[in-house]
Amino acid sequence: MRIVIVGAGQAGGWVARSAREGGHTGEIVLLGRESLPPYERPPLSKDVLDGREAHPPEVLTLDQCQALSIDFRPGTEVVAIDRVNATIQCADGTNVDYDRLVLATGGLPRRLGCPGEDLPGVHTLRTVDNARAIAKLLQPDKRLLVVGGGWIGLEIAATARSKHVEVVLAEAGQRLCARSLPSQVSDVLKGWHEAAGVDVRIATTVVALEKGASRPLRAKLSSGVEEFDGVIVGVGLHLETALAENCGLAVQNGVVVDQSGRTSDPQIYAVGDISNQLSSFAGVAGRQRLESWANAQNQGIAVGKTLAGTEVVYDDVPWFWSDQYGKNLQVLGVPTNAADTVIRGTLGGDSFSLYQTANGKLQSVIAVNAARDIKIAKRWMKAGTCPPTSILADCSTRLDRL
Amino acid sequence: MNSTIAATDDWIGVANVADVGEDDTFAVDLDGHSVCLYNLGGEIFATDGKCTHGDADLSLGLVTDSSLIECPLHEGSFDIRTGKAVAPPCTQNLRCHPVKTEAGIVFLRVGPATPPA
Repeated sequence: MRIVIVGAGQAGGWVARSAREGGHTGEIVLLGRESLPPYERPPLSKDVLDGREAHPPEVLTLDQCQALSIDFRPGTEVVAIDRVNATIQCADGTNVDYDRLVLATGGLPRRLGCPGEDLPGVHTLRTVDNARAIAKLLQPDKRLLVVGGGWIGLEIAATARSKHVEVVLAEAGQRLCARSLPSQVSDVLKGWHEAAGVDVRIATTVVALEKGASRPLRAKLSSGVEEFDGVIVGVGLHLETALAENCGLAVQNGVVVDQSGRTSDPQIYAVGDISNQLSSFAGVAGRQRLESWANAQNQGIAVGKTLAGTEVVYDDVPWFWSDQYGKNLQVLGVPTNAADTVIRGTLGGDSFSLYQTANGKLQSVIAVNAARDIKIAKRWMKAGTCPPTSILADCSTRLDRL
Repeated sequence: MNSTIAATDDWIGVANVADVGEDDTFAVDLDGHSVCLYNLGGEIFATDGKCTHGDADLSLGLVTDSSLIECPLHEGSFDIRTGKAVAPPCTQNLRCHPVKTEAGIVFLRVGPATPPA
């Protein structure tokens, strides 16, 4: 049985490895648009961007692909899926037949959609090449505009400040990370960035970009006109779901899959950023799409095992982290603005945890420099239990000894 | 006959046994190298303090099943007793250090440590 995986990012890489290690003896073909073997993206806004690491960690090296008999084909663009004949068509005119197909296509950075967005000096961040291009701008006394107050924008801003670059951060909405965090924590992040000298501008949009005079770029912001050495855009991910849409698979907020990652076609799976998956932790909706390192890895591993013959129901507790200014922030579960909140420690302190409960159940935990609290809470969330909020708030009680 | 470990032997005292709580971690420095101590059922173990997958301090992680250390960064884990990587993304085994305890003190050997399995 041949497994064909479209997309050789972190998710695709783990599907390949997991299927082979799970006992699949047939062919595994891994097709990637990029020229590099599967790698992890989070370091692109941190260690790779600031030059500490030349490359992000690889999920599968070329040697490992050889050893595991994974037919890895980099620089390959897939243009269509023919479900009738169970074959995919590549841009170079070749076809690859499949018995099982896995879509792990992720996405491309969403564009700003304003005049001048294609000028030199305007960057997005998704690949190693992008990170290296942005790294060249991170020289002292350069002035950067970071567009987007989400995780990408915030990590880039933090890395840029560590290189003594002047940063203006423009967020179109009312607060930072509005999609992922409750407002108290958005405020904490704003505090970190302002304390580090970032000019954080909420409710600020980019109207147009043009060539500058004193610096390479001129940005017409809703707050006025200013010049910059570079503009980095982090305003979300445009999902690569066209292949799925064009061949008639169910696509809505990503490719719709069941609890084992199967799409509306039982021969086709979808994993990673594009996957609209069932989750016990997604609240009333019951479904969610996660753009996280943990989902790419763990859903990839689960689908690999299912393909190898051991059906796995993937229902992990969503988990995410971000590192900014040497602080580690982790998010477990799905925070909302509606839940009851208990704080362990002091909000905005060096280390604290914010617990959200709803109807006595733990809904989410957000922790700064408190990785252990997250790990312990993950057990509770898996078990559906939750200690009394008085205990959560009591720093003198060890949560791992309950 | 006293069997006190003298400073001239290639063992060095790094902590009190009492510093390492049951199923807990304790970070120490061995000649400029970070090492993490663990107490599993009263027996002291030691591994490199830095995760093999990323720049993470294992002493900030969680001891699970009284035998594994889960990295605080990405949730990979290792068997404390052998250093074997047991959960992704960790695939490279962790180095273990030989441990001696005497008179309530934890001693680590200075010099080449047990190579990873």
